[in-house]
Amino acid sequence: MIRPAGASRLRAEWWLVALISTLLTILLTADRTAIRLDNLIYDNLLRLTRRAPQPDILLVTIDNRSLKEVGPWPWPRARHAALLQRIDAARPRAILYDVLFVEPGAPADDAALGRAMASVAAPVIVPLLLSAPGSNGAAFDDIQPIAPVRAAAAGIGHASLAFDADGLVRRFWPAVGDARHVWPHLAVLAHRRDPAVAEPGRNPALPEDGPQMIAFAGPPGHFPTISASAVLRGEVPADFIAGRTILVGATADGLGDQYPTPFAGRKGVMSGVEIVANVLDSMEAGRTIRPVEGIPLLIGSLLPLWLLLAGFRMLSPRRTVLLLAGIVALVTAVVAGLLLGGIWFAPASALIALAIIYPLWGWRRLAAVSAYMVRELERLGGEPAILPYARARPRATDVVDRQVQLLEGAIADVRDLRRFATDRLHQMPDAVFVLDPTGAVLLMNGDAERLLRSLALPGGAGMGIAGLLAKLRLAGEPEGATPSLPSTAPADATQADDAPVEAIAPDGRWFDIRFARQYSGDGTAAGWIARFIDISAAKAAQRQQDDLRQLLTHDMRSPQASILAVIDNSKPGEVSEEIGRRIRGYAQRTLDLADGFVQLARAQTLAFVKEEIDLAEILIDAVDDLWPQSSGRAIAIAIEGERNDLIVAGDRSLLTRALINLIDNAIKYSPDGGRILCRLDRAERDSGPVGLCAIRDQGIGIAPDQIALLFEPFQRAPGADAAHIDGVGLGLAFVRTVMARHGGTIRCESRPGEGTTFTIELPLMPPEAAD
Amino acid sequence: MRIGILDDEPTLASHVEAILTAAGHSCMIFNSGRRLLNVLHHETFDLLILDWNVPDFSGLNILGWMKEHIEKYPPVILLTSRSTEEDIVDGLRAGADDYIVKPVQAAILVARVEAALRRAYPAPPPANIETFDDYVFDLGQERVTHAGRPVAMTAKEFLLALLLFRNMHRALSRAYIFEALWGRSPDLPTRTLDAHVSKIRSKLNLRPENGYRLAPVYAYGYRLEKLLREISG
Repeated sequence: MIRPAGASRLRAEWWLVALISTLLTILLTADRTAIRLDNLIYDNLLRLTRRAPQPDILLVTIDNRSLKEVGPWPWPRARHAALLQRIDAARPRAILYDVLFVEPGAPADDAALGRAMASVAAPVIVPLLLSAPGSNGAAFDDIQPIAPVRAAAAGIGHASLAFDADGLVRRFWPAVGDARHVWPHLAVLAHRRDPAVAEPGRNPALPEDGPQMIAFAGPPGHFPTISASAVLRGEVPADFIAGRTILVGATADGLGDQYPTPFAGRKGVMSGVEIVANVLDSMEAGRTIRPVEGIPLLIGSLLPLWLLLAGFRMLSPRRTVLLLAGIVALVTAVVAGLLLGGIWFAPASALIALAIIYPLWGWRRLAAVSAYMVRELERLGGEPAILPYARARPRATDVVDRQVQLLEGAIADVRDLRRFATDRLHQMPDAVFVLDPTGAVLLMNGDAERLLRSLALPGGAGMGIAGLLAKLRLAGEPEGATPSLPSTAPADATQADDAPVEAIAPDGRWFDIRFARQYSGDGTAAGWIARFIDISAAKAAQRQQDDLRQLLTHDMRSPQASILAVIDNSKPGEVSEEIGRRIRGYAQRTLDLADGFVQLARAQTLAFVKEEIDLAEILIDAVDDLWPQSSGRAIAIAIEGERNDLIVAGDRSLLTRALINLIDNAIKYSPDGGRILCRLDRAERDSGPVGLCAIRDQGIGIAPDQIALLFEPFQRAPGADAAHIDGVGLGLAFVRTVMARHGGTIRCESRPGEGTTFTIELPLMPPEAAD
Repeated sequence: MRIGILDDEPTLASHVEAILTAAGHSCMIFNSGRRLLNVLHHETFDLLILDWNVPDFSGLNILGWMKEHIEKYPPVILLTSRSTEEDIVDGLRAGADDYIVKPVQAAILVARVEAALRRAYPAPPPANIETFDDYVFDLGQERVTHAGRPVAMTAKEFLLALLLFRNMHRALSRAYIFEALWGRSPDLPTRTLDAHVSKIRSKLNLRPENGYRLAPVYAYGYRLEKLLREISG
């Protein structure tokens, strides 16, 4: 296949689009520009993966009701101690008391809280405050709880949250710290069955990863919650608390410990203790989420992009749309699936790249195709038109209008051309078949269909030409020889077409069959054009002509020859000399007439091979041939200029006979004892050198108005005495025919009473050709 | 000599017979080709004069049959009404020794018959000097005199002139002349022969005024004729 010029442009555009989209994806992934979209997707997916809370988590909240029933915030330390002891009385597994005790209060109160905390059976975990940035250049300062609490707590953890750029909380640090300390998250401590085992803040086994995603279990209020005032008042049954991990924290409005999260609920925020509960729940449920970052994220983002790019190269536009939809659905499904499996793959970069690349490719591809189309159409418009009328040039200046006009013009051209081709084929005068290389008929015209019908052959395209050829008989060959398709083997474009063959149909019609090899643009054999010309009429005419020629040359001559033989053979006195002479004369004239006919026909039809001839030689031959006639009437024939070396190319017999006819004429019209001058000469014409031969007699001459008629058959100089002059005026018609066939001319100059000059003029052969 | 004549036109056949009998030959007339063929099986002729167009078995057929069946067949002169140059060449190429177009002229017929017989039954080896009327060829010296005057000639012209005189009244094909003068397959332009013929005609004055004619046989060759008006008279 020949690669269209537009394909390379399209390929270049593809590479360009691939490069741009890849760079864009790298940029998006590295820059996290698309993080808002990622977050949106994440939040929505997360809401879909909502789950039931773990049963051993119970929230005890210092809510609006508690503040109203127990007293305003902040509560005295003694009330916290009371709450702790109330809870512990119900035998919980652990207590995560998410209230900061960092500011020292009255030392007695502080000590009392410490004592109360130390007295509870369940491990108590309390938060510390991390203040960033820290003093003295440190990343943060850790502000620990007051000393009695610090001493009594089973674990001290941090409760810091990681805020995303949109202000939402989606992540937490499992541990924060520096060279001095590493502080685990409260929930990490609570998750451990025995938080006291680890010395607080000194656990080297803690992971020092970056923030982890919080696998939220549900919206605010998702976890079972008891108001702190209910606990303080003893309204809560002990078995409700027993064995559970109790998270205590403030949720009342105005206390400030509220944060926006993906599960924001009606209020739009979630309390800090609920966030801790979610973190703990996710760990209890084993549902942590780790984000994919760096190179794996980049590779994962590029994968769908290149899948689509490959689709651009290999699939049709319609399939490409399906592929795009498929890829987006697949990405979404994979991301959702990964999230369920605890892996967060941020798909926004990949999706944005897909969204951008598709129209980009569509645009570039259209631009490439459009440019190619315009260029090709304009080139087509610049080619010489096959059909003989002018094409309208596009006049529009608008690009699209111009393209439309170009395309309309090209389509109109193709339509006209097709119509022109089929019309010409159908109107071709002979039966024409267009064949493929195997001889199967691709197209045929009306005459061809009629030919098939007349031979009772099935018409219709697809039939082989062999069926037709098998019906025919090769002319001049033995019975059974049929014409055949010439061999396609020598597929040489320079080779001449095969010679025509003549074949005869069963009904007696003659056909001249020609096969013309056809080649396609790259020179491979494309098949044949077979033309069947009905030459029956020409054959009949030729037979008739042959019969006529036979009649004249033999059948009519023979009796004349016999007449002459009878006269010659007669015994003396049997036929009087005068009668004999006259009979002989008439017989001779009939013979000459027949000869004249035959020779004229011969001059018109003879297919001769040209040979080099010296005009002087054939002139002498002609004069010698007429010796009996000229010497009989004492006419002298002189030749001048015989050394002129006038070499012409032609048929010797025709040219000699032409000269014989002219000199014979001159003899006939000359008086006895007259003189005939044959003069050879050379002259220059525009077309090149010519040889001249002038035959001049001293005869009766010809009137000017008769000269033009001289060269028509059966014309004779008027006033010629028929009794005196034999012959019929075929001689000059013969001369004119011979001259015409040799590219020569004949002219006549005459004055009545002064004689006539016939001059023939023949082109000479170039000197280098004549040796 | 014994001459067989084939012609379906009795008048013409007897006319030919009369001419040849007067010239001292004995003739036998056949008016059908088949009859001649039957006779040819057991009879011998010194020369055959055949009409091309006879109803059953044409002159050319007879010629073809003899070529195939008779080892040394007699010379054949075609005597026919077919007058075109193409027919003449066809006849000569088919193997006829000569070709005469009807009507018959006695002098020509006799001369052609004599020429054909002379070739088929050559006289004893020629002497060193060969004389044709007033043309004398000295073979040893390769010199020609005409009416006693020496004629300057090249060796090839001498050979060509001698060839033509020895074959007086006989059509010589170009190939025959070429081979006699220049040997087999000479790579020469055809004009060469025409130019030589032209030279000889002029040097030896082989023109009707002088009683000779060097006539072209179109597309075949040349024939030297001696004009024999007195015989027909």
